[in-house]
Amino acid sequence: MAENDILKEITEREYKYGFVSLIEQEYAPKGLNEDIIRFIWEKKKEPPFMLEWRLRAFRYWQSMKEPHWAKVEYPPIDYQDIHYYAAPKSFKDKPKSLEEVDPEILRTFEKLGIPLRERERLAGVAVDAVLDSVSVATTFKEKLEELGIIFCSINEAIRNYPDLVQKYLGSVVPYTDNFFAALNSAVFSDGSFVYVPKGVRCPMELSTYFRINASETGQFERTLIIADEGSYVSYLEGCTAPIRDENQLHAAVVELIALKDAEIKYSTVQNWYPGDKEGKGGIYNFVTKRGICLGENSKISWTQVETGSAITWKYPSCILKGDNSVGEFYSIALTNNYQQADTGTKMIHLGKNTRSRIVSKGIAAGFSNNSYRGLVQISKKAVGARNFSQCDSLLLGDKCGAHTFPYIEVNNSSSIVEHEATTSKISDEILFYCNQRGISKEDAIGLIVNGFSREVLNQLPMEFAVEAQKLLSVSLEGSVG
Amino acid sequence: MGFIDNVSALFEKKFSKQICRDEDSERLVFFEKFKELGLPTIKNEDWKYTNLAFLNEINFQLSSCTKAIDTGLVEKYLSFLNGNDKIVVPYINNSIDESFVKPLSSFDYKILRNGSFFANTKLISKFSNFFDSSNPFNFLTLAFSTDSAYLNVNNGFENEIPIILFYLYDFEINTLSNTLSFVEVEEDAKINIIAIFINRSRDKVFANEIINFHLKRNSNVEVNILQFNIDNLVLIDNFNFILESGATLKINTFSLNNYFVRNNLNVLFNEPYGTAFLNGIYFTADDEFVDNHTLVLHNQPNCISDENFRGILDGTGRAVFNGKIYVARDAQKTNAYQSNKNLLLSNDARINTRPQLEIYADDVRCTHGATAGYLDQEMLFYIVSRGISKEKAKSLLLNSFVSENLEKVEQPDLRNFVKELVAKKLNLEDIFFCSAIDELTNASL
Amino acid sequence: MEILKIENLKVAIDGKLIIKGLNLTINSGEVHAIMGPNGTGKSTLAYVLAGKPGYEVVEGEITFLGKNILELEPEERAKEGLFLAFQYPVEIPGVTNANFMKTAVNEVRKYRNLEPLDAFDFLQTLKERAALVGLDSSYLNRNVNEGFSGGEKKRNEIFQLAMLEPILAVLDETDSGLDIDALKIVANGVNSLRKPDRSFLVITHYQRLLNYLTPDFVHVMYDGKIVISGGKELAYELEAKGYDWLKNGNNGLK
Repeated sequence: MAENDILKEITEREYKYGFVSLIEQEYAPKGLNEDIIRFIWEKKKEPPFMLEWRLRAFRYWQSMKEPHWAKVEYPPIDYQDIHYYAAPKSFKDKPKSLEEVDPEILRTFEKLGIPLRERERLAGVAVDAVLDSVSVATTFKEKLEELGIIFCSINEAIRNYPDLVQKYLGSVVPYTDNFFAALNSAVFSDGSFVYVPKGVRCPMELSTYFRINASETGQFERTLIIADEGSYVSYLEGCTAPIRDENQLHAAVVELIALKDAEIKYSTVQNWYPGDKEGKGGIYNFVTKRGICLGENSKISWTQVETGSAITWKYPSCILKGDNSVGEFYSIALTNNYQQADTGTKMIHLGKNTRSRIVSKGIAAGFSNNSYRGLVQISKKAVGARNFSQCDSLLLGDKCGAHTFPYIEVNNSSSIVEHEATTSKISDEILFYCNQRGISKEDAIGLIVNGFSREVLNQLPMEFAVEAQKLLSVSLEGSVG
Repeated sequence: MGFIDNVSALFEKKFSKQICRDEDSERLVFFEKFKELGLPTIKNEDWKYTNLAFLNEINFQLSSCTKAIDTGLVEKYLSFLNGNDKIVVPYINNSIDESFVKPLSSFDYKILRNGSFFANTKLISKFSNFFDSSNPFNFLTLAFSTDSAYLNVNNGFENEIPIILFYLYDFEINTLSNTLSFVEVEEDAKINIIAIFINRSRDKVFANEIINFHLKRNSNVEVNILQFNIDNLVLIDNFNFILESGATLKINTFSLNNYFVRNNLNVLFNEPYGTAFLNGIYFTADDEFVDNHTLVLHNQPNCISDENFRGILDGTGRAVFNGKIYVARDAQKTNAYQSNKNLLLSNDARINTRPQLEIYADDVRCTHGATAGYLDQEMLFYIVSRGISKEKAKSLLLNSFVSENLEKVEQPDLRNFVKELVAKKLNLEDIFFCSAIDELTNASL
Repeated sequence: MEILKIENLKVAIDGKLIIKGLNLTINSGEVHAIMGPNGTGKSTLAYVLAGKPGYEVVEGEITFLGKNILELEPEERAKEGLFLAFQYPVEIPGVTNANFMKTAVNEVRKYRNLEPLDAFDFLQTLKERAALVGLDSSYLNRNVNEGFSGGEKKRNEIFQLAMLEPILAVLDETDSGLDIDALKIVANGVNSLRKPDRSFLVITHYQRLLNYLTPDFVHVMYDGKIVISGGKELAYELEAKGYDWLKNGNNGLK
């Protein structure tokens, strides 16, 4: 198969998770105003402090302008033409057990490979499944409770652990942080909450699966993870959405807090609907993810495999406040057709001997644009800090773009920062070499893309690595096997 | 009074009374453009790390005083050429002093006096090709421009004699300086340019100088930019280059002792098969600021660019490197390299570096790298374990850090001069003895 | 005459004790060998003598020519006449061997109140000494150790030894990574540099170097201490029995 055909195959691959589930939905009226925020607050049965907080965020948001510095282009978003709340009708009162959940919903998650029923559950993974604005079910809850680990929807956490939530919600990403974070703070409806107590190593992967189903809605989930002193948790996040002609907005906020000697590993496989091959439809993914290494010797590690969304605007970041703390960012971003991704990280070194590592692999195909944007900031007090960044881009075809925009700010003389980047295509020599050894072009491209991504794939927990590898092969379908 | 008000008043005073002249209406258009863009703030990505707010605190004037400068002074500053032949284009206090210019063969050399640039439509149209309409200082320079120099180097001209663009500022008040230069290098010609900036003023001078080069087919141009001992000078220089097929450009910048320097180096490959090297060395000590802002536009296939900037930052010195490589959709077979390395010697020194790649063609090989760090402690220990003092060991290593870029200067007098300047900065007084040894061993092998 | 005296030396790295009470005396013109398994602190001893930062002397004294060298900077120790041939010589891009040696030699000469060598004399010495250790003179103009093979790096160390004319030369695992021919060349170089007023401390894991460099004394180091000392025959005994002999039962050790 000629190279052009392979690229054509890649470009024309089908989105596998594009089905729509026929679930009766309950919506908030379209548009955004203080009444809508009160509506969400009431629906969620939250304590009064949350209404205060949401309204403050909303008022602040009204004073802000949508940011346009990223290398992405899209028509103006009409924020008044979106439903800010959508929930399955059957969720008017949250079902107490899986038996009460609409079987159509369970089937939806089964089709996505996330069985929620006890006997079929994924071994070793506790799942919080979120459909549109609400959490459907959380598995293995009781087992985790025995260890003192709280894993529930953020909504439950707000009601059951208000002190913890009040202390940490918005402490890493305040609503003043940026336009989309302010919007999220005002209208977020659900998401996951994790608290791992002192000295506890969470024995299983915690996972949230986000699914947008309803049309003309936005999804605004909020995740808060707190790892207390000496604890460890690995958290996974997956996302899909049905095929729709319209663009849908997803503006999530994730906050991670690692106390002394704690470690949080956060992995994402983002596969929101990317739009069709003409660039019609798809999710606008404007996400603020940030973690703080608050205590000494703490560690936060982000791993992301970004293959979906029409637009990705996402910079999972680490604030390295505790001395000797470590931040990591491993990313694969694959864009195709008319997808646009502007993604990267910020490593803010504040503490002594803090270390960070950035490995970013961008793969651009079709007419897409793929940008890495990253900040490494070494403050004056971050004595002995170290950073190493490697950002590689691979171009498949001559209609796409790959860009690298690092920002490096060093304010002391005892730190070492190194940044390297390369951009290239798969060389004809390598392809010829593979051909000569009897490997077809499509296999060769598959091999090379996989090898190119391996360093990042290796960071994923086993359960997800397989999924991610599959996702990359789907993207290269027709060229592999 | 802010900078915009300041220059508006100056513009009003100088030009509006003579509005009957065509050139002044042209100036007004440029000045309005400048005002529209305004003084860039750090919210502007191109000026993110370069804060110009301090300009609002200075009251600038337009100086008409043309101090007499004797040739002896110019000779003194150019003594490193050891009396060898040179061609000097002297921009003295904002105007070109003709008395220095020797008769030139193989050159078409014009001085366009105060404003007559605007009457030369041919030149204006050539100029417009270079225009970066996002840089407000381009418009400011045009609006206030005084004398302009136009140099045309004939086909096939090849001469070792360096051409000196000699910028000397010697004012007695806070002053603006704005000149335009245009160098057209015809096919197959080869020239060596040295641009020197010298400030003798004790007050602040804000110099915005534009120097445009058009490199025609197979021409070969080396431009050395020399900045040292320029206290009190706020310098924003804009070197713009357009390269035709087969042209080779080499830029070497030496920012050794500065107050505030922003080098805008823009290279445009307008035809295939061009080559450009951009090299730079910068030192910053207490309160010094150097910003190298490079843009290499690969608009055509089969071009090569290679960029290498090295900085040593001491005291409270600050440096910025902002390098962008842009590869257009059809610029296949592009090779672009970029490297920026920094050593910080003091805990109060700061570096902000932004190497950027923006790539739309797939059959390319582009890499960039940036580092910030301190001297390698293993190397330092190895050297001192041989009995060499720590200070000297540091100097040796710092010298070796920049030596690669020093060696890239082709003109031998200039190469020795910049080596000497760097050695002096590093207190390596016997550098020439060392290079003598190197030469001797070379010769005897 | 006593050149080096180490008394009850205890050294720690990052708070961990590596050398745990070591005693050693070296007199003029003597060649001492220290042998021992990996990780017993041999290289640490070499670095402590040369004054590498990061090594904490917890207890004990080191006197070199009657001076307490623990109070001296690394470059001062070198000027006093202490030379370390590194196990892993460092590459210094941008500094040629010739320039490097010229700077070092003249700094040392200045310290000893000698006039700096002029370019021609220096060049003469340079070529002479390079020939002595079998270093091709083309290496003189190359950057220090940059792109040198393992053997060339070690040879370059011995060349520097020849140039700097130390009173005590410490050779840290100079034989490691060398094939037998390279080993002979290095050993011959060292032998030709032996003088009544120059002592050597040869640190090695294997006995094979000692076949070419006959030591006056052999010490065996284990777990941060010298556990046994003897003449050159000790090296053969050790070679025959292996280092496990030390660990099992310590027969014949005091």
